[in-house]
Amino acid sequence: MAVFRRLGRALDGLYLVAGYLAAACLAGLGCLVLASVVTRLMSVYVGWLGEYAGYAMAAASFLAFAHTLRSGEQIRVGILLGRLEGVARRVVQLWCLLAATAISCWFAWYMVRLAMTSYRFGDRSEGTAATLLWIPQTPVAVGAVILAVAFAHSLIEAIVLGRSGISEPEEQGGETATGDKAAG
Amino acid sequence: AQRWDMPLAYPATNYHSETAAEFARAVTEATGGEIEIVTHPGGSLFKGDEIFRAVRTGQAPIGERLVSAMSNEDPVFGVDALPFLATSFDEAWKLYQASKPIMEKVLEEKGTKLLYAVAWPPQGLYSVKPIARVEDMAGVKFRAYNAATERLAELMGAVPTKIEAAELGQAFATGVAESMISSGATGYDMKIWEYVKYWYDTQAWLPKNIVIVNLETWNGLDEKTRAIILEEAAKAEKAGWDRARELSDWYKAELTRNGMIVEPPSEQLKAGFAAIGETMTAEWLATAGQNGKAVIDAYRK
Amino acid sequence: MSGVWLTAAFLGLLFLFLGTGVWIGLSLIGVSAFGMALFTPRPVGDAMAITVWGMSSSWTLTALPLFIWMGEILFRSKLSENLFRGLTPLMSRLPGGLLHVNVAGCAIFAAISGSSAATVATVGKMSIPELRRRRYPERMIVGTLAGAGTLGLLIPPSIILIIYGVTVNESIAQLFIAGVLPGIMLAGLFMGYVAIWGLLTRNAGALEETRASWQEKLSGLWQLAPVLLLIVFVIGSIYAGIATATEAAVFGVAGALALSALQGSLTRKSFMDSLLGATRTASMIALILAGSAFLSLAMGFTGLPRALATTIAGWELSPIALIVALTVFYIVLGCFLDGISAVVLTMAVIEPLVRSSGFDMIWFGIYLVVVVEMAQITPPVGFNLFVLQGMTGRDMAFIARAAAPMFVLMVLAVALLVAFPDIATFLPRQMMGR
Ligand code: NA
Ligand code: NA
Repeated sequence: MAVFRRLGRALDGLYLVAGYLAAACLAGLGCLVLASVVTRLMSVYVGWLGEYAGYAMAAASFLAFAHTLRSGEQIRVGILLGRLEGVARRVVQLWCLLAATAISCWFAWYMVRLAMTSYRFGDRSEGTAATLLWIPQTPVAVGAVILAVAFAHSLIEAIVLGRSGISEPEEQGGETATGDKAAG
Repeated sequence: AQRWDMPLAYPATNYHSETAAEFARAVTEATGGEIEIVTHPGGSLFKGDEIFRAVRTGQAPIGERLVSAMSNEDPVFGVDALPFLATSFDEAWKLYQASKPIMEKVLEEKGTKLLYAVAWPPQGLYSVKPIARVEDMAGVKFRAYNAATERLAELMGAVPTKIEAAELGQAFATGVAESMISSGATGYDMKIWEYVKYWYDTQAWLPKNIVIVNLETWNGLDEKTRAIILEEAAKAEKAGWDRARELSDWYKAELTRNGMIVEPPSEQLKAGFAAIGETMTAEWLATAGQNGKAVIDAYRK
Repeated sequence: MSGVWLTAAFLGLLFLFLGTGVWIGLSLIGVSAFGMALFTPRPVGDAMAITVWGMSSSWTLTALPLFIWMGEILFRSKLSENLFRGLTPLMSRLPGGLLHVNVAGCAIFAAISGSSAATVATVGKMSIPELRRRRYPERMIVGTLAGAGTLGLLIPPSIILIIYGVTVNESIAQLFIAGVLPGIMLAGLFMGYVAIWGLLTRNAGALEETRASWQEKLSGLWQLAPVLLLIVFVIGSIYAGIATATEAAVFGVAGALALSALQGSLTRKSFMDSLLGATRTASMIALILAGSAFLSLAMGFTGLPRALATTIAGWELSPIALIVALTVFYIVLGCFLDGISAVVLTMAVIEPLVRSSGFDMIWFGIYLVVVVEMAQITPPVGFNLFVLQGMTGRDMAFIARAAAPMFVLMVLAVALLVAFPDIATFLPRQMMGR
C-alpha cells in the first residue's frame, strides 16, 4: 500500500511537471506569434515561425492533458453520474474509467506510432524549415502516453481506494466553483 | 472488389478535382467495379499536406498532391517550381518527361506509384503597382511561402513576407502583402482584383499535381487491372493538360474582364527574370545531386 | 438496408459513451474508431493519428489558446470588474440589465476573433463571475453566452466564411461584409429576448440596477476605457496591416498584460495562474477538437453526410422547400459535427444544387453560417456547450436547455434572412457598385 501511495504521488508529480512544460509551450507560442509580427515589421523573413507556433500549440495541448484531467477540467456529461448513488454509481464510474483507459491507451499507441513512422521515413514538414516531423511529434506522443497513464492510474485508484483522484462532476457544480480552482 | 477513397486537396469545381473525379468514374467502370474509386475533394478526408503521408502509409490507397510541396522529401520534386526554367506548357511537358523516370524512382522508394501528373496554369506576377523592370520590385512586400519563393524575393530585391494561404486576401487588402507570384487560377479563386491591379504573364513556372497510389496496394493488383488503370491514367493526364491550356487563357480573360491589367512582361523584366532563373537553377543543382543533374541534362538535351 | 443499421449503431454508441459520462474527447475518439472500422477496411489508428496531428498543430488554430489566455489575464485583473462597473450605469435602465453585457461583449469580441469557442471563453471568463455575484439567474447567463458566442462566426473575421468562400469560389471580402448586418440583427434578437425576459420576469425588478446620473454614466465610460482601448488595439492591428487576423490574438495577450501591469494587478503569481489556467482550458478544448477531427474523418469515410445530401438533391425541390430541407439537414448534421466539418463534407454536393436553384452564393454563405452556428449549441456535440460546461461546472442538460431559446431565435434569424435576403446582400452590393 505504501509503495502504491508513493507511486501515486510520483505520478501526480509527473502530471504537474508536464503541465508546467505545457504552460511554457503556450508562452512560447505567444512569443513565436509576436516574433512573426515583429520580424515582418522589420522586413525580415523567418519562414518557420508559423510552423513552430503550430508545434508549440500541439505540445501545449497534449502535455497538459493529464494535468487538466486530474484537476477535473477535462469535461464530460455528468447527468447520469449526478443522479446515481451507491453501487450503481460505482459501476458507472468504473465503466467510464475503464472505457477511457482503453481508448486513451489506443490513442496513445497510435500517437506514438505516428512519431515512430515519421522517424522511420525521415518525414519532413512541407514548410521552409523542413523540420523532421518526429521531433515536434514526440512531445505530442509523450502527452498522449501520460494521459493514458493518468487514466490507468485513476482506474486503479478507483478499484483499490474506492475513489479516483479526479474531481468528480457534481463536486464542480453550484455557484462556488467556476472551473477555476487556481483563482478560488 | 475494393473501394479506394481518394483524398483531394482542392475544391470539387477545380479542374484538377474534376479530372480526378472523371478518372475515378472511368476506372470504376472499366474494371467493372473491381476497383471503385471514391473522390473526397476540398480536403474533406485528408488536408493537402497530409495526403502524401496518408497514401504512402496506406491510410488512403490513392491521392493527389502538389508535387513541389513535397520538395523537402526530395529536391527532385521541386524541379517544376524552379523559376524561369520551363516557361510554357510545351516546355513544362518536356520538363515533366525529362523528370518522370527519376521522379517515379524516388516515389517508388517512398512507397508510392505515380499514375499521372497535370500542370497548373503558368505562374504570373501579381502586383499592386506596375513593374517594368526587376529593379521595380525593390522593397516591395512579396509573399513567400517556402524556401524557393523566399530566395526569389531576395534575388529580386523584394521583401519576403510570410502569409499563410488562408489569409492572402486579407493580407493584400490591408497592405501586409503587395505582390506575389501565382497562377491566374489562384487570383481568380480569391477574386484578387478586389485588391490587386496588375498581373504579368511571366509564365515563371508551371507546377504540377501528381496522382499517386500506394505501392503495396498497386503490387497487389493483377496485371489486367493494372493495365486498365494505367490506360485510364494516361487518358486523364491528357484531358487534364488540355483543360489546363484552355483554362489558362480563360483565367487571363477573367482577370481582364474584372478590371485587372493583364500584360506580358516587358523585355527588360523578362531578361532580369531569366538571369534570376539561371542563378536559382544553378543553386538547385548544387543541392539536388546526381538526380537533379540527370533531370536538367535530359531537359536541356 | 444495412447502412441504416450501421448508422443507428454508430449514433447509439455515441449516446451511450457521452451519456454515461465518458470524457467527451475520448468518447468521440472511441466511437469514431468503431464507426470507421465498420465502414472501411483501412487502418483506422494511423489515419486518426495523422488527422489529430494535423488539427492539433494547425497554424490557423493558434489564435484560440492565445485568446483564452487573454481572457484569463483580464479575469485576474481589475479590468473585468471595471468593465462591469462601467457598463452598470449605462445599461441600468434596460430591462434585463447587465445580461446585455454578454451579448454586446460577444458581438464586440466577435469582431476580433474568428471562432466561436474563443468568443465564449473570453467573454464568459469575465462576465460569469460578475453576473453571478449580482445574482442573475444562471440559466440566463449561460444561455445568452452560448447563443451570442456564435456571433464569432458571423461577424468578420470568420474562419468558417473563409472556408466557405474558398470552397465555392466566392469573394471572402464580400462574404465578410455580408456577415455584418445579419450579425448585428442576430445580436439585436438576443438583446430583444433579454429585454422581453426582463420585462416579463416577476423578480427581475430586484435585478434592476439603480438609476444612474449623467455623472455616473460618464465615469462609467471612463471605467470602460481600458477594455475599449484593448479592443481598438487588437482590431486596429488587423486593419492597419500590422498583424493578420490570427496574429492579432497575441496583441490581445500583450495588451492585457500591459493593462493589468499598469493597474498593478500583474504579479508573478497572477501571471503564472493565468498561464496555467489558459493551458488547462486550451488543453480541454484541444482534446475535444482532436476527437471531433477524427469523428469528421470517420464521417468522411462512411460517406454519410454526402449520401444524405445526395438524397436531398434527388428530391428536386422548389427553392423554398430546398432551403427548409437544407435547414433541417444541417441542424441534424450539426448535432454531431462542428460547422466547419459540416460545410466541408457536404458542399461538393450542395453547391451545384444551390446554384442551379438560382440562389445568390453570398446570401447562401451567410444563411449557411447562421444554420451551422446552431450546431455550436445543439447537444450532444456542441462546442459552446462544452466550453460553458468547463467554465460553469453545470451539466450538459442544463446548459443545452438554457441555450434552447437562443436556438429558436437563430431559427427566426434564418426565417428573416429568407424573407428579407437584402439583410445579407445589401452591403456587398454597395461594395460592388462603387
Ligand atoms: Na468573428
Ligand atoms: Na451540435
